[in-house]
Formats: sequence, C-alpha cells, structure tokens
Amino acid sequence: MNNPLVRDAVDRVATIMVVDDDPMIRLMATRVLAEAGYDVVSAESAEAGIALCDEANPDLVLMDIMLPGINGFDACARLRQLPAGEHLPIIVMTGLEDRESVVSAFQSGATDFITKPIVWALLPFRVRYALRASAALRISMRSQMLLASAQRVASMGSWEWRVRRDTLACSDELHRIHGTDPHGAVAGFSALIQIVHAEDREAIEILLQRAGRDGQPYNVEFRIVRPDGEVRHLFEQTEIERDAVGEVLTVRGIRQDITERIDSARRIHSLAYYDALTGLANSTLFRERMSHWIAHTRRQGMRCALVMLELDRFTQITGTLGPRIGDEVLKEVGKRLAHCLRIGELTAGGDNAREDLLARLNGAEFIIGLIGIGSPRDALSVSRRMSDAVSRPITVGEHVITVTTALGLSITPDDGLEVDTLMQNAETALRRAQEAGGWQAFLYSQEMSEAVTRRHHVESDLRRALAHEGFVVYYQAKIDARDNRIVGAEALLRLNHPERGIEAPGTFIAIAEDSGLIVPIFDWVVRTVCAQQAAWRDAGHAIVPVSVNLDGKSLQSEGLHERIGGAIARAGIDARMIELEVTESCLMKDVGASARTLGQLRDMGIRIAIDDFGTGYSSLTHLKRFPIDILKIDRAFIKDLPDDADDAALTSAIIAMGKILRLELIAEGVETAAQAEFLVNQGCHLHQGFLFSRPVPADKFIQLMNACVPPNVMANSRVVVNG
Amino acid sequence: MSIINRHEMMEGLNLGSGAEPALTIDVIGVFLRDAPARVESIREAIASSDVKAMLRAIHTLKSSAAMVAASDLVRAAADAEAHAREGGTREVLARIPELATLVDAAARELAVIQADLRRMHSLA
Repeated sequence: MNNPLVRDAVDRVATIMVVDDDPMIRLMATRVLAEAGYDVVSAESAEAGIALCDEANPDLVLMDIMLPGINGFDACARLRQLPAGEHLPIIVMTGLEDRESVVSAFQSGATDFITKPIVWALLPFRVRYALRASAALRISMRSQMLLASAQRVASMGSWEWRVRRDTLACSDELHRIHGTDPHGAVAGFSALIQIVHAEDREAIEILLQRAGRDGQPYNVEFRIVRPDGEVRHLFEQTEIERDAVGEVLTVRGIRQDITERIDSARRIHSLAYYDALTGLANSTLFRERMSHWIAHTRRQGMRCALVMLELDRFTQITGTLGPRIGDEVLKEVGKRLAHCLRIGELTAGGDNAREDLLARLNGAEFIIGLIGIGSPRDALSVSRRMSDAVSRPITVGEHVITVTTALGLSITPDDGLEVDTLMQNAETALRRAQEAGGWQAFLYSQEMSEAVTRRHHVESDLRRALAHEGFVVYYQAKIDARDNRIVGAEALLRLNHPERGIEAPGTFIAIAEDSGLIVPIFDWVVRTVCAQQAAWRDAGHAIVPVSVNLDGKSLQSEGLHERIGGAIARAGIDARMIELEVTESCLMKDVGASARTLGQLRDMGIRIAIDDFGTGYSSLTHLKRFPIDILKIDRAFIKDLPDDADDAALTSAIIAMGKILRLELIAEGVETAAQAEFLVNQGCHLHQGFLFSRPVPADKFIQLMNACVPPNVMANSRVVVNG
Repeated sequence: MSIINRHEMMEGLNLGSGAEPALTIDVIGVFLRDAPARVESIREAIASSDVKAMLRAIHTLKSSAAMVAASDLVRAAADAEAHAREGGTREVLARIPELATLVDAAARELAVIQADLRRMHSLA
C-alpha cells in the first residue's frame, strides 16, 4: 500500500499496551517492541489495562486471553466501548490448543490473535501489520466522512449497485435526497427505480438495465417523487466497474438534486418569453405556441389564422403626447384585444384547451393567432371585432385618444404552414392594407381570396343598399289557371347595384343570411310591400294578396310579429293582403318556436304558405301541427311534368295530400302549357311561373293586374280558391 | 545433570536486536522472582477451588519454564496442565511437589548463569 497517509500513520511512534499477568510475557513484549521503536506500556490485569488505556491512548493492545479478574473477552468488549476503543486494534494471546478461545476472542471484538508460545522475533512485525491495517481503516473512514460531508454540501448522493447479486449501497445523502429512511426495506435495483416519477421511470429503468447488462454508463436528468409527495429534479451520472474478464461487476452513480437550478431556469424562461410592458407573450413564445397549434389543428382538419395588427400613426401619438401616454395606450390596446379573443393563461408548454394567442411584437405591432377556426369568415369576424374594440376612444388621464388599426391576415394551410411564412404573408397583407387605407387585406390562395373579397364586397353592397334604397321589390303573379286570373303575387327581392344593375338574390342571399343582414332586409321588404299595397289601393287599383319570403333568421328574430304588424298597421292595409312563405327546412329548425311565431302571425290574419314543399324533411304530423294555409309545390316536381311518371305520381300524391289537409295548393315554376294542363287535371289550379309572367317591377305588375282582373272584383275582397 | 539448557535459552532469547545478554539477565530475574510464586498460586488456587486461577498459574509456569529452556519443568508443567484442563485437581495437587522441586533446581542453575552473564559483560 503506497498511500502516504498510511505510511505516515505506521511510521510515527505508536504506543502499544501489553496486558498480561505473566511478568515474563510483559518483559519480553516490552523489550521486543521497545527495540522495534514503539512506546510500550503494560498492565497486569484487565481492569488495570482498561484504566491504562484511557490514560495512555495506545494505538494497539496486546492482551492475554486468560486474565485474573474479568477475563480477556470481557476486557476486549469493555475496551471496545471506550471512546477511542471502537477501532482500536486488539491482538489477543491465546493457547495453541485453545480453539474455543480463538472463536470467543473474535466474537468479543478482537482484531487478531497470536498463539503462545509467541515467536518474539516476529512480534514487532505482527504489530506493524496490525497498525497498518488499522491506519488504512481509519483513513478510509475519514475519507468516507469527508465524502459524506462533501455529498451533503453538494446535495449529491452516491450509490453502488452490485449487479450480480442485486445489492445496493446508498450514501446517507442519497437517502436525504430521496427523502427515504436509510434503514428502510427496499434495496437493490428497485430502490433506485421506485423513487423515480412515473413518467420518467421507464426511461431510467432502461438506462440502468443497460448499464448493468452492457456496461453502458450514462448521464440523465429526471424527476423523483419523495414519499411525502414532493417532486424533485435530479441529475444522475454513472460509471462502470468490470471484473477481470470484463464482465460488469458494479454500477456506481451519483444523484444530484438540481431542483433549485430548474426553478431558476423556469424563471429565466419566463423573462425570455414575455413582453415587460404589456405582460403579453413576446414573439419567441408566440412562435413556439403558434407552431404547436398549427400542427395540432391541422391534424384535426381545422385552420389557424395569423393576424398582424398595427396601430396607425402611433409614432405621432407618442410624439405629441409623450412615450408614457403611448405606453398606456399600448397596454389598453393589449387588454382590449385580449378581450376579443379566447385567451387564458398563455403558458409555455400548456396545451390542453384551444386558445387564441396574443403577443406584442414591437413598437405598435401586435400579432394574433386565431386557433382552430373553421373558415376565413371566422377570422374576418374576429378581426372586425378587434378593429372595432381598438378604435373606441381610449382615455389616459385627461387625454382621449382614438387609434385606428390596419390588419393583415394569413390562414393555414393556404398561406403556409410554417409560422415564419404565415408571418411574412400577414405582414405583406398588412402593408397592403395600410396602403389601401382599408382596415384589412387578405392574402391567401387565389380562389379563396376572390371568394372572401367578394363576400366582403357583397356585404358592403347590401349594407349600402339598405341604407340607400338600393333594393327593389319585383312581383311575380300567381294565377288561377282555369281562367288566367291573377289571384296573388309573390314579392321577390332584387338588388339595384349602382354599377351592375339589377341582381337577383341568388348572388347575395346566402351572404345576407350569414351576415344577419337578411333580417333588416326582410323588414324592409315587408314595409315596402305594405306601402305598395296601400299605394295601389289608394290609386284605385284592385289589390291581391302578396306573399313575402320569410327566412329562418327573421323567423327566429325577436319581435317579428310586432314589426310585421306595425308595417301593416302603418300602411293601413288588411292583414290578409300580406302572406308569408316559409320553407319546409326553415320550419324544422326549431319546431316549437316556429309554430308559436306562425300562430301569432296567423292570428293577425296573415296566411302562411309552406314553400318548396317536398324538398325539406318535415313529417306529416308537423304539417298538421303547423298553422299553415297554403302548400307550394316545388318547381323540381313540376319541371319534368307530365312525361316523367315518377314526378307525375309524386305531384298527384302531394295534391291529394294537400286536399286531405285542406290546404290551398299552388304550383311553382310552371313554364309549359302541358304542365299547366296536367296540374289542372290533377286538381291544382293555382300556378306561378314563367308561363304566365316572370317577376316584374311594381309598375309592370299593376299593368298586368289591370289587364287581367275582371272589373267587377272589388279591391278589398279576397279571392278564395279551392282545388 | 543440568535442568537449564543454557545454549537453547540464549538462542531463544537472541532476537538479533542486540538485547542480549541484558535481556537474558532480566528474563532470569523474572523467573527467579515469579516461578516459585506460581507454584504457590497453584496450591492456593486448588485450596480455594479456583480452577481458572489454577490453570492460569500452571500455564504461566509452563511458558516461563520454556523461556529459560528448562525442558523437564516444561514437561512437568504441561502434564499438570493437561490434568488441570480435565478437572483433575487431585492429580495436579499430587504433582505440586515435583513442580516445586524442579522450580528450585532451575532457579539455582539460573542464578549461577545470571551471575556469570553479569560478570562476563560487566553488568550490574
């Protein structure tokens, strides 16, 4: 052993205590050991020896096993109990034949034995060997203590896993880190694994197994869950010891508690991810989360939109009012934008509920991620909301500031699937919007672009028309085919476009419905028709009931019957001069409410027609239940009459049913004489279609009326028809 | 007929450390003081039925005898020891006179050797 510490320990002068009641032994031992350079003290009995031990602090005791008074074994045990005695080397002198004594000596704690007669010449060497072993032990223990201290300071615990026998030794510090009892039951490989967090356990197990089986060392970070439930982050490093043939003998590891370090990292992370002024996410975090959501929503077949929003002329605001006011404006804008969006806590790593993203880029630029939208229209409406919210006046102290915004949008997947691409495209759109002076521009695939632009334009047209008398009502005559008399009319909406002229609803009705503009448009039609009826009557013409198409949204709208009632009352006409046409599918949307509303309208005297009958999905009980007066047979059934046998059969069936239900029947889309003839034969006399007249403006219609109505029919009488 | 094998004794005590003859002189001194007392201890131990003490005394006598190379004494002591181990107190008691005689003889010879050694090496 070349350990200098050991050499030193052995070479300095050691004190030997000889305990024997035989003076000869004492003499010889003392002489021999003194010659060898040791300090020797001696005692005659065990008691004397114990007392002397306290005083002289020997480095080694040489003691006879047979002593007067308390015997050698007890003496040995007593010496061991002394403060310095725990690791004191005690060599007992025993008789050669005395095997029992040798065993007992060992059990009482003797370090070694020497048989009598003693070979005095070798005694010094025996003592030297014993001292060396003792020194090495002391040094090893001191190292262990130092190591334990170091481990405690560094929060590092060590372990040693003897692979073949699956035995595990753990340092106290490791138990401290694990929060486990050093005297607990679990040992071996499983002790290292059990403490690991369930989510990390499999990985650690694999690493450890590989270390034990293949000798593959590793470094890893993972979490443990202490018995009290606390989660800690650990770093582990391992090394391998192999035996002479290269097989893995031992795996040694250290585990260090790095929980504090992780927490700091988290705090640094949050500083790196958030905008200090507004508290919103910054672009780093935004990019990260946007990337995640783009992929996520794509898998679910949904889209995301990226909106870039910039406050106009913001530098002017800060220039005039100062940067502090500017900051307050930005903060307020951030809040209002958040309000428009589905925002929760934007945490890096959280990904359960789908939420919109809002971040501040720089200056007066914000970036918004709309997550999981169905169509570009959704992005549009949110954008409008945001724009409206931001442009409401902002009060800072005594200043009232109004900001306007420009927005640019890009949408997945058309404008890209990478955040960078989407941001670039949105930015380009934003610049265009700023140039154009409009509040937003879109940028994505050609088709989409056209469709949504068109929609936007159409909506604008509709609004303008509502505001500026851009609509016109056309009238299509309903006749009794038996004598070609006009018995009614359907009011049909037309848009009088400033550039394009008259447009049929086909081009705009869907947009009107989606945008909800249909409701004011319907009200307008009702008012117009009422007024028109009044005007005709006042001009001395005979008038007939005019039906107005009632759409789903209007049917569901609050106060419908008041509005209609109001229009009728204002015009001062008989309610029977107004009829309403509702489609089958419209009625079915909310059967209960629809029935109630229609009932109210019917109570006012207004007749209800079910339109496009046969194309929806009502049941006969519904038909019976609804307050309906008229059944309009859809043009689809009429078109191929009379040649198509199926259509002929169906039409006959509908006519028969209508009769049973005592409904007035009218056929739509009658264009040929053959169709008309067939229908009349089947018992359906009321027809509407190009055969008689296409929809025409009011003045044309009244001319038609005058040509058809027999002069003896009074203006206010109602023409009753029955099939 | 000498009871002490002087040569053997000196050989045994020659530890090559230069302790002789001073060590031999001291060893003899111990024997002269201790050996007779040991015989007495055996008698006392038997008298008080202290088997351990008896054994110890015989054992010590034997090892001291070996030290001074008094082979007859060693043999006699070994014999007594054997009996002592088996609990044959009476046998031990019977051998005490012999032991005492041998101890005396050894002591006389050793005293002479000691004086001789002292003279030879001018030691007091």
